[in-house]
Amino acid sequence: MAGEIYDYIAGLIAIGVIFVSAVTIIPNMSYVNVLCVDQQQLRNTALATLKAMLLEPGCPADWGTTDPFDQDEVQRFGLAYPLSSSFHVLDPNKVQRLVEENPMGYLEYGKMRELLGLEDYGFSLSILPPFNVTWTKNSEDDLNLDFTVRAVQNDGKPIRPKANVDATIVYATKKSNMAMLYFDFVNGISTNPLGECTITKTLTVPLGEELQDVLVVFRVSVADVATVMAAYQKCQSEEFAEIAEINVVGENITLTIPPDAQPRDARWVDNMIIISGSTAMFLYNGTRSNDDKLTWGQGYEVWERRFKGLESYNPVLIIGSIWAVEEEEGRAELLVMSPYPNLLGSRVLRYGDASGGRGADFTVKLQRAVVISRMTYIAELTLWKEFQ
Amino acid sequence: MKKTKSINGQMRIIEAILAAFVILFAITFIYAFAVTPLSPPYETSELEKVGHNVLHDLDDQRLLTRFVYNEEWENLTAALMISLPTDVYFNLTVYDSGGLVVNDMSISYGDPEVFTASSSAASVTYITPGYSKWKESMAEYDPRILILQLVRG
Repeated sequence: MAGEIYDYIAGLIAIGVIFVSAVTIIPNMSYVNVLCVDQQQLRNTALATLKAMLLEPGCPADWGTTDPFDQDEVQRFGLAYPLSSSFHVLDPNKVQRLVEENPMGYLEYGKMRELLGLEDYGFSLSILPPFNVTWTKNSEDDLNLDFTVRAVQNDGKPIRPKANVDATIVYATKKSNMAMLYFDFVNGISTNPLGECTITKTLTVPLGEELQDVLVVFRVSVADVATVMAAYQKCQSEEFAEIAEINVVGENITLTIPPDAQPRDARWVDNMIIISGSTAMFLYNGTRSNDDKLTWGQGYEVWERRFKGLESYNPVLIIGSIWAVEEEEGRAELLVMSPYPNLLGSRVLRYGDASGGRGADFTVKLQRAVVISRMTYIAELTLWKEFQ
Repeated sequence: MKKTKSINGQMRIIEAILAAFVILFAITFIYAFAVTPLSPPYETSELEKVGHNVLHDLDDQRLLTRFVYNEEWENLTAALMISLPTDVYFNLTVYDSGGLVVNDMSISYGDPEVFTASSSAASVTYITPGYSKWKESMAEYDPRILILQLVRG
């Protein structure tokens, strides 16, 4: 009798062990399948999201050009250019609303998640050039420019057979209180097998004039797919944020002075130049009158002009030459470029959750080639699930 | 008699354990062979979308037709290389309306074996009707059929 009881106890323990093992192992095995379903669902969500972002104009269709911008007025999100009949052509004004540094207002990440119905997901979006271009300044001499430009594929491999680099040099001089603006060009330089080339140029400054400021716009193209980026010769771009901020919304160009800018002397807008994918052209010549004055108080805080047809020129960069006081240098003709991050060759460096889904079980990354201002960029969406 | 009863009890337990193992094995077997969600078809359709997007983008900028009709195969390869994701390999063949291969050099990137070895190769067909150097003028009808094969590397 006692032996039977021991047998049954032993059997019960054995069955219990098997049961517990089964309960542990089987859900784990099915979890793999559930995870696959989750991943598939995430991919579908990512595809639908990317489609909504790149193919829909949103509502209202011109939500990127409303001034002042109020994100609560955006009822549906989409970046497509409403007047284009082609796919994946994006509205530069809407894209600019994804740049956090845009002083004219931007669409917050939380609001976009709500508009896209992605409350349970995290995502990040970047719109970058199709290849990676960097430059280094080899000379501090403002008259003798010397840059090394490096163009590689986004994975770091050299571009075969080569990339072509054109440089447009914009420089300002002054003679007493008169400012002059000049253009110079270096065209058709090819990169070597490592993807590098050197751009050198000695600037010509007429006798009696004094060189004030220099900036260089690089147009790098591979098989005529181009990217544009720019470099200040004299300083870092952050220093020029003190002079004025140039913003473009639709056909309006607005200049403002940051509230904490130093020195606080008045500025005059002398010229405005637009750089498109292939050309540079004068847009505006100032008169040094009160109409072009920019200073604190007295109704001169903002300089705003409407340029009819500006959008049709597809501006990538706007350059302003401004008669302003440079700290410890006195009054000078200074060049300011905008908008950020266009001068780096990108449109949106990273919008959304900066973590990029680190820590998430699974992320989906999708890429599409898009056209903004007649230039090709790569839009990349990374999506992940945040709440289980 | 007592001993026989005990052995019968032990046998039943062993049978139960064996039965449990059979069930467990069956479930494991089923899960191992269960068809997981359709990742390869997803990958193929995603690659097709990427391929079509890139060809359409180049066509929209009038670069694709220029490369194809002027036989700028090196430029076409470079344009595809920078426009497609870096982990995507491609092989493009251009045919004329008679089905003859037009490109006299390979328009490809990546190891050719990847295309035969991969289970999720995508293929995109794109047709260009003709090409005129000037956007405004009418192009003569002279179609080219582009077959773009894509594989994730």
